[in-house]
Amino acid sequence: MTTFDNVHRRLLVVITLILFLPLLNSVLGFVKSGPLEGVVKVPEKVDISLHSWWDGSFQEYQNEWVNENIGFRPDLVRMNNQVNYWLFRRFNGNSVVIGKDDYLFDRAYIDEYNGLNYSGDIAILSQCAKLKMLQDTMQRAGKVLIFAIAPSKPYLYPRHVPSYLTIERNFRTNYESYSRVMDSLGIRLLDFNGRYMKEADTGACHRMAKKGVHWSVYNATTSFQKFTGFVEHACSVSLPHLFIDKLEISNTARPPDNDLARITNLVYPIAKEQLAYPQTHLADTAGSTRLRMIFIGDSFMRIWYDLGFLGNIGSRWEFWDYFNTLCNDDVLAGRAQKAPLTETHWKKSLDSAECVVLMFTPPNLAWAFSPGSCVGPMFDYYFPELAASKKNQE
Amino acid sequence: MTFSSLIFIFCFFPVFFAVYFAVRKDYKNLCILAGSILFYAWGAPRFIFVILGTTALDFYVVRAMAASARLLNKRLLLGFSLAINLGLLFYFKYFNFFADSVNVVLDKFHLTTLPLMNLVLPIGISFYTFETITYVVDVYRGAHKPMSRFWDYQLYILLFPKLIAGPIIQYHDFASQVAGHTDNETSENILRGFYRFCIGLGKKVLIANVVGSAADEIFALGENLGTVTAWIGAVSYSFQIYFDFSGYSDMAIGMGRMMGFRFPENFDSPYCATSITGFWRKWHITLGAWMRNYLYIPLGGNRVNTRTRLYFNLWLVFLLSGLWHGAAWGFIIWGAYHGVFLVLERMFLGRFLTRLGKWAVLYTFPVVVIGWVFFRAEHFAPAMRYFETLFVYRPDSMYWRPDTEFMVVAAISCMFSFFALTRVGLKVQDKIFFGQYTLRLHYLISFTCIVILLLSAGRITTSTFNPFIYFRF
Repeated sequence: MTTFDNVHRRLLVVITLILFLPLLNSVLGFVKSGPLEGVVKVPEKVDISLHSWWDGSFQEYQNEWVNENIGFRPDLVRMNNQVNYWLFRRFNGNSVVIGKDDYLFDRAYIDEYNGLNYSGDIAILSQCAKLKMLQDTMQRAGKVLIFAIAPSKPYLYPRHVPSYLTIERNFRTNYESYSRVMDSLGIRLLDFNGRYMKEADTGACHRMAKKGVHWSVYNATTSFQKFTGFVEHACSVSLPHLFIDKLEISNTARPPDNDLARITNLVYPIAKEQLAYPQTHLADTAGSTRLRMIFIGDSFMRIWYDLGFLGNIGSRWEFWDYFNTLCNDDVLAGRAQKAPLTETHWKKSLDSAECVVLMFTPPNLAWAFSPGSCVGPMFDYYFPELAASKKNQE
Repeated sequence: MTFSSLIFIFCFFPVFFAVYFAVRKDYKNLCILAGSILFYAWGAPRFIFVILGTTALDFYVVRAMAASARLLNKRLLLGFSLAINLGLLFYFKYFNFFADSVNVVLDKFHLTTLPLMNLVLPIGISFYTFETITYVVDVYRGAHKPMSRFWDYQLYILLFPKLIAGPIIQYHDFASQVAGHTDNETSENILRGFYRFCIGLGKKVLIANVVGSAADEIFALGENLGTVTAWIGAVSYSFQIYFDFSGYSDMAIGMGRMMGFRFPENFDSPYCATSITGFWRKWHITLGAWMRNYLYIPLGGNRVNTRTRLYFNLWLVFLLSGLWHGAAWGFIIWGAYHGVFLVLERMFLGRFLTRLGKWAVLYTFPVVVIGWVFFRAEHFAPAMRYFETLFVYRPDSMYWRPDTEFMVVAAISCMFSFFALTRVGLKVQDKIFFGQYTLRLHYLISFTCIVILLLSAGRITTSTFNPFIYFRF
C-alpha cells in the first residue's frame, strides 16, 4: 500500500468518525453536552404508521426530532453562536442584538425605538381617548386607574445601540406619541421610561444590566418604591413602604439581569459586569393600609411579581400577565397553579378592585391598546352600548 | 429530506454510504436504488408510486419501440411516451396556471370559468421528466440501445443525489456508467466527492442562506422599500440563487463521485460571463444542453432558412425554459427577457461585447440581476412595482439595514462569483475542482471541509427549515 493510500484511509476514517459521532451519541449518549438555555421547542411525538408516513407527519416529526436531539447539538449551537459573535457580533436563532461595549438588546425594542410599526397619530389619539374615558368612569365607580410605562433599553442607552441600527431621529415612536397624548389628556401616567432617560447610571446601580432586557433587580426595587409613592398619591392612602438596607455588589448576575446573555448560549460567556443587589425590608407605617389591587402588564410587571413586591401594597391582589394568565398570592407561594384568565373572572375582579394598574414597556404599548388584548375588553365592559354599536357597524 | 438538513447529513448520508461501501459489488446498484426510493418516499411519499409507475411504463414502451421495425410504430410509441411524461408534468405543474390564465379571458366575456384543482407538485418532476425524455428520444434516435434491466432504468431516474434538482443527466452520458461506476470507486474519488459535498453544503448554508435571508426581507418590504435597498435586494437574490443552486449541484456531483459516477458539471462561474449567450453556457449547463439537444435542434437549430426563424427559435427555447422553471408569468417573462438578449447578441450586440473583453461583465451581470427580479417576484405586477423602486429614486427607510454578517458574506459571495475573472482565480478554481491533489493539499482541504461541515451543521441547528430554491421547479 502506498503512502497516498495510507493517507486516504486515515482521512476517510476521520471523516467517517465525524459523520457517525452525532448519530451514535444521540443513540448511546456517551458524551453529555450541557443543556441549552432558552425556550426549547419540543416536537409533538408522531408514531410510525402507514397513515403518518403517507401524510408526511412522521417524517416531519423525525426531521424536527433529529434537529433538536442529534448528538452534540448543544455544542454545535454554542460553536455556531461563538463564531458568529467573534466574526459578526451577532447571534442566530434569536433576536438578541449586540450593541456597542457588548450591551445586549432585544431587536423588538430597537425596532420600536426606531419608529418601526408606528401605530399612527389618529389610532393613538383614539386609543388614549378610550383610556381616558375608562379612567373617568372607573373613578366615578370609586376605582383608580393608573397607567405606567416601563423602561426600554434603547431609550436609556442610545449610545450603545449598534451603528447599523442607529438612524437620524426625525420621526415619532409609539412611546413618544402614547406618552405625549396620555399626558395631554390627563391620564394618570407614571412614565418610568421618560424619567430614566434623564438619569444616568451610578456605579454598579444600573438601570438595566448590560446583558438583560428588563430593568435590573436594583432598578426594579427603586422603581417599585417610586410606584408606591405614586399609588399613595393617586389613591390618597398610606401604603407600606419598601426600604433598602444595603447593597450587595456582585459580579454574578442574578435573574433577570442576564436574561439576554443566558439565551445567547456561547462557549465563552460575554464579560461580566458589577451589579448591585439590594437587601430590603418592608415597613408598615402607622395608618398604612393595603388596597384591593389588580396589576396588568408584561414581563416588567412579572419581575415585580417574581420579587414578591405586589403583595407589599396589595390585599387580595391579582396579576394578570399579558391579560391572559392569572397569578396571585397563592400562585406566588406555590399553593396554586397559574390559570388562564377567564372573562367571568376578570369582570368580577374588576368590579371589586380599588386600584387597577396597567404597565407596559414601549414595544408592548401597541399590543396593550390593540383590540381584544387588554384596554379594549375593559373599555367594552364599561361601555357596552358603544361596544354593541361598534359590533353592529361591523 | 433536503441535503442541508441534519437528518440527511448525520443520519442518511453516513448510514447510506456505510451500507453502500459494505455490500458486495453486485448489490451496490440495488443499495443505491433502495436508498433513493427511501430518500424520495421520505419527502414525497404520495408521489413515489407516480414516479415508479411512469418509469415502469416508459421502460416497457421504449423496449417495444426499440424492438419495433416499423417507423410508424416507433413514432407512435415515442408520442405515447412523451404524452404520458409531458402530460403528467402539465397536469401537476401547469394545469392551474393554464386554467387561471384562460379564466381571465373567459371572465371578460362572462363565460363559465374552468375549475382550479387542489394539486401538489411532486418534488423534482421537472428534472426527472426531462431525464425520461432523454432516454426515450436517445433510444428513438438510435443514439443508444435501451436498458436491458428494469432496475437499471429505475436507478437512472431515481438516483437520489440528482433526483430532486439535477444536474439533468442525459441518458447517453449515463448508460455506460450503470455497470462501470464501481470501478471508479477509489479512495481518491470518495475523498474528492466528500470535499465537493462539503463545499456545496457551505455554499448553501453559510452563503446562500445569509444573503437569501436579506433578499427575503428586502423583497417583503413593499411600500417601505427604497432604491438603494432594492438594488441590494436584487443583487443579494442573484448571489442567493447562484450559491444555493450551484451548492446543491456540488453536493449532488460530490455524492455521485463518492459512488464512482461522473455527473456533468452544472455551473462554470456564470457571473463571469461576458454575454448572456456566455451566461447560458455557464449557468445550469445541463438544462442548456438538454434544451439544445431536445428542443432547439429538433426545431431546426441553426440550420433554418431565414434569420428571423433562427431568432424566433432561439427566443422560443428561452421562453419555454422560463416556463419550465415555474408556472407563473414572472418565469415566462424571465425566459423571454433572456431570449431577447440572446437574439440581440446574435444580431449585433455580440460583436460589440467581444471588443469589450472581460469588461463586458459590466453588461452581463446587471442584465442578469434585473432578470432575477422577474424570477423572484414570480408575477408581473409585483415585479413591476419592484422595478419602479429600482429605477425611480425613493429614499431608504429604516426597515432594512445591512449588518456585519450580511456585509461580510455579501463580500465573500461577490469575491467567489467573480473569482474566475482573474487568471489566478481561474487557476485556483481548476486546481480545487479538477486538479491533482498532493498529500499536503489533501490534508488542507480535508481540514477545511470538516470545518465547513461543522460550521454548516452548527448553523442548521440554529436556523429554521430552509429548503433549496430549485426544489420547487
